Amino acid sequence: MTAGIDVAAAALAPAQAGILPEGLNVSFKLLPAILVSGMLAIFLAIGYVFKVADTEGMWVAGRSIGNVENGMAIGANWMSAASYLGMAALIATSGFYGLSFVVGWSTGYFILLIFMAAQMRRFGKYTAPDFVGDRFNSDTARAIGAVTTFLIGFVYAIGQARGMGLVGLYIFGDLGLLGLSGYQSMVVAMMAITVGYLTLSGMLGATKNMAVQYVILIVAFLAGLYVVGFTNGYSTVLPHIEYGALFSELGREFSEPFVNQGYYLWIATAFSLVVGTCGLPHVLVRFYTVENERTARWSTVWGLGFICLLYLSAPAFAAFGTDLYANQIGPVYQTAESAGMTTAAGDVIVVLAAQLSNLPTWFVGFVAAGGIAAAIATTAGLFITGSSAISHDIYKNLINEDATQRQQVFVGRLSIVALGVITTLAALDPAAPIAALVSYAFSLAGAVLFPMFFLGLWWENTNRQGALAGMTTGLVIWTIPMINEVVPAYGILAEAAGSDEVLSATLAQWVPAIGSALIAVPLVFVVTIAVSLATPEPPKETKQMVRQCHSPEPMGQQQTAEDAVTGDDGPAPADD
Amino acid sequence: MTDNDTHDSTDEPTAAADGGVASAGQAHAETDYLGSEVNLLKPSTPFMRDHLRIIWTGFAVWAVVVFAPVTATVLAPGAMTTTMPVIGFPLHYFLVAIGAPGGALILAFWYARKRDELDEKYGIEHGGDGA
Amino acid sequence: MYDNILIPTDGSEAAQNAVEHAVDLAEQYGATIHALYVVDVDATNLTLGTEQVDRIRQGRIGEMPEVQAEADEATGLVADAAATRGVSVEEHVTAGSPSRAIRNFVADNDIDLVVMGSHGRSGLSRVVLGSVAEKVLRRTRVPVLVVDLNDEDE
Repeated sequence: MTAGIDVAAAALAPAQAGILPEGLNVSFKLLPAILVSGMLAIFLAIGYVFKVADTEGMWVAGRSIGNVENGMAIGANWMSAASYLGMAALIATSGFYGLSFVVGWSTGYFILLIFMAAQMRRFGKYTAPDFVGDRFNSDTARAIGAVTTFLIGFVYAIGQARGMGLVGLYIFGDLGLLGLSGYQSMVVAMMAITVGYLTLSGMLGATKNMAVQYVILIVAFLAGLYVVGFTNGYSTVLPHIEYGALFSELGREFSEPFVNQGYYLWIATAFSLVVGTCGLPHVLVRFYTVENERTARWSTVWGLGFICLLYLSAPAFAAFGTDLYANQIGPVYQTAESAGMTTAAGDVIVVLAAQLSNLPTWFVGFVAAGGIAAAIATTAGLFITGSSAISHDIYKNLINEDATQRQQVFVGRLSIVALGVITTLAALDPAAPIAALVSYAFSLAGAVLFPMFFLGLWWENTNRQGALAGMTTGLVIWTIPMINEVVPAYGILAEAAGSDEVLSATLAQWVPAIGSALIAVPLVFVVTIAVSLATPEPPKETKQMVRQCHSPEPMGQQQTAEDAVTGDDGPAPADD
Repeated sequence: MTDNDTHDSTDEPTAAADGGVASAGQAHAETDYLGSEVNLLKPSTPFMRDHLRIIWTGFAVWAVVVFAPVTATVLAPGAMTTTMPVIGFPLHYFLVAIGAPGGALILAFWYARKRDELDEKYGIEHGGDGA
Repeated sequence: MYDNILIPTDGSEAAQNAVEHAVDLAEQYGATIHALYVVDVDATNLTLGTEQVDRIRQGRIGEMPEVQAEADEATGLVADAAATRGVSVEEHVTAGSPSRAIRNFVADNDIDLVVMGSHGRSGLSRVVLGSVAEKVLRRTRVPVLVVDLNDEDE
C-alpha cells in the first residue's frame, strides 16, 4: 500500500485488532436494529415466494425478465459494502486516487457490454468454471476456475465482513463476545447471521429479489445524501453537482492529484477494476436470466445507469463527510500533530456524515441499515457462487460423478460454512480498508478469468494448453503481490517486512496488489496466445461453439451454442 | 497481439463477395456462420466486420474518456486543476468523477442502439424481446 | 383399485429400488405409471447458482442440457422398466422443492398411489439430509408405499 494509506495504517497498527471508528456513536439502537432485520426479512420473504411459486410446465416458456428489471439486478450486484461504504471512504481519505475506483468500477461495464455480454449469453453455460471447462475441454481448467472462483468469493467477502463489522458497531453497539473487541464481536455476529440467512433461503440472487434490494439500498443511500446535503446547507436538488462548491473549503488533499498515490497506481487500479468487472463469476451469470442477447445488451445499459446513480453520489457524500469530520472531530488529512482520519472512520464516513449532521437516530440507522444489508446480501451471493464452485465443479464433476442432488446440497452447505469461518477469521484483523480488500478480488478475477473469457470468446484458436498456461500464470502473478503486501499485515512473514510492512518496496510499487492485473493481463495474454499457437488447434466442435457465439442468427427459444453445434446431443466431451 | 498465419485454417472463408449489389440481408442469409473463423483481429464475415467497426470505435472513445483526463492531469497539472466557473469543481476532478462514468453510460447507450441498427440492416429479429 | 401410480425419482439407487414394486403393482391393477423427476431448486441454487434457478423458473430448462439429461435419464429408467412389463408410462419433469412438487402433482393428476424409495436414514444423517419420503407421507392423503434401500436393519 502507498504512503497515504500507510500512514493511517501505521497509526492504527497497535490497535488494529480493536479498530474503532472515532466519532462513531457506538451503542445499541433499537429502531435501526429493527430496520436491518426488516430489510433482511423482506429479502427472505421474496426468496420464499420465489422458491415455492409453482412452475407451470417445464417446457412452457414462462414469464421473461425485462431490461429494466435485469438492469436493477445488475445494479444490485454492485451494491456491496465496497460501493456503499468503501468508495466514499477512499475518496475522502485518499482524494483523487479514490476516483480511480469510481472510474474502474463503473466504466468497466462498457467493456463488458461490447466484448462479452451477448457472447456469453449465447455460450449459455452456468458458471465461470463451467465456461472454462467446456470451452477449453479441460477438467483441469475447470478445477482452476473453481478454485479461483472460491478464492474470489473469499477475498471479496473479507471486505464485506469489515463493512458489516464497522457499521454494525453503530447499530448494535459493542457486543463484547468472549473477550473479543467490539469490532471483532460484530464481525462474528454478522457473519453468523449471514450464514444463518443462507440456510433459510439462498434466493437472494433471484432477479426479482435483486431488483428489490437495489431499490431499498439506493433509496437509503440517496436519502442519506440528500438529507445530509440539505440540513447542512451543502445542496438542494442536485448534490451530485452542487458539492463542487465545497472544494474551496475541503483540504487540498481532497482533490489535488497525485498527492500520495502516483499516476501509475491510479492507472493500475482503474485498469484492474475494469478487467476484474469483466472477469467476476457472479457478474456474467446475470446474462443468463434473460431470454436473448438483445435483452442482455439493453439490461447492461440500464444496469450501468443504475450503477452510475450510486457512483455519481458517492463523491458528493465523501465531500460532505469530509467537511463534517473536519469541523467536528479533527483534521482529515495528516498534519504535524495528527495522523488524520483513520481508515476505520473513513470506511463508515457515510454513516458518520449522517450522524454528525445531528439527524434523528432512526434516520442514521436507516442509512446504516442499508450498508449492512448491502454487505450481507453481497456476502450471501458470493458464498453461493463459491459453494457452487465446490459442490458442482469440484465435487460432482471431478470427485463423485454420480452424486445426487442431495449430496451436492450437503457439500454446498458445508462449503458455505467453511467460507463463513475463514472469512470471519480473516476479517477479525483486516489488512486494508474495504475498497482495497475488494480490489484484491477484482485483480484476481482480472488476472485469471478475464483473459480466458476474452480470448475464449474472441479467438477460436485459444486451446486447452494455452488456457492452462494462462490461468496458471495469472494465478502466480496475483499471488506474488498478495504475499508481498497483504500476508505480512496478518503477521506472517512480518519480520521480513520492512518498516512499510511490505517485503519488497519496489515490487509493491510496480506490481501493487490493488492493481496487479495491469501487469498480469498483458502477460497472461502473451502466454496464452503463444502457447496456443505452438500447440494443436482446438477440435472443430469447439471452434464452432465459438462461432455460434458471434453468429447474429437469433438462437432458438431454448438453445445454447453447444446445442446448435452438436444438435442437442448433450455436453461436449472433456479430454483431460 | 500476434498474427495467426502459422495455423492453417482448413475452412475456406465463405463470406460472400457481393460486389456491392447484394443487400446486407442477402449476404447474411448466404453466410455460413458456423463455417467462418472467429478472430477478433480478422473478421471473416460482413456482419463481423460491421460489428467490429462499432466495437473498436466505442473502445477508442472509451479509452479516451477514461484515461485521457488523468493523463492530461499528469502532463499539465496546472491547467487541469483550474477551478471551473459556476460549479466550482477543479477541472480534472469533474472530468474524472462525472465525465468518465457519464461518458461510459452514454457510450453504452450508443452501442446498444448501433447494434439494433445493425440487426435491422441484416434483417435479424429477436423474437419476444423483454420490455 | 389403482389407476394412476406415481413414482417420484431422483435418479438414485434408492429410487430405482422402488421401481420394481411400482411396476409390479401397475401390472396387476392395469394402472398407468407416472415417473416424476423434480429439479430440486434448493440444490440447483447451491450447485449452479440462483440465476440458473431463474432460468428454470422461466421454463427454459431446454437451455440446460445437463439438467435436462439427468431428468430424462431418471425418468427413462422407470419408463424402461415399465416397458419390459408392458405397462403404460408417462414421464414428467418439474421443478421446486421435491416434497411439495410431489404433493402438488398428486393433487393435480388423480394419483391413487405413490411408490417411492427411501435411503432409510436415521439420527444425525436424517437431520442433516432430511427425508423427502417422510414429508410426502405426512402431507398427502393418498396411500404411500415407501421402499427402503436396505433390506435389513441398519
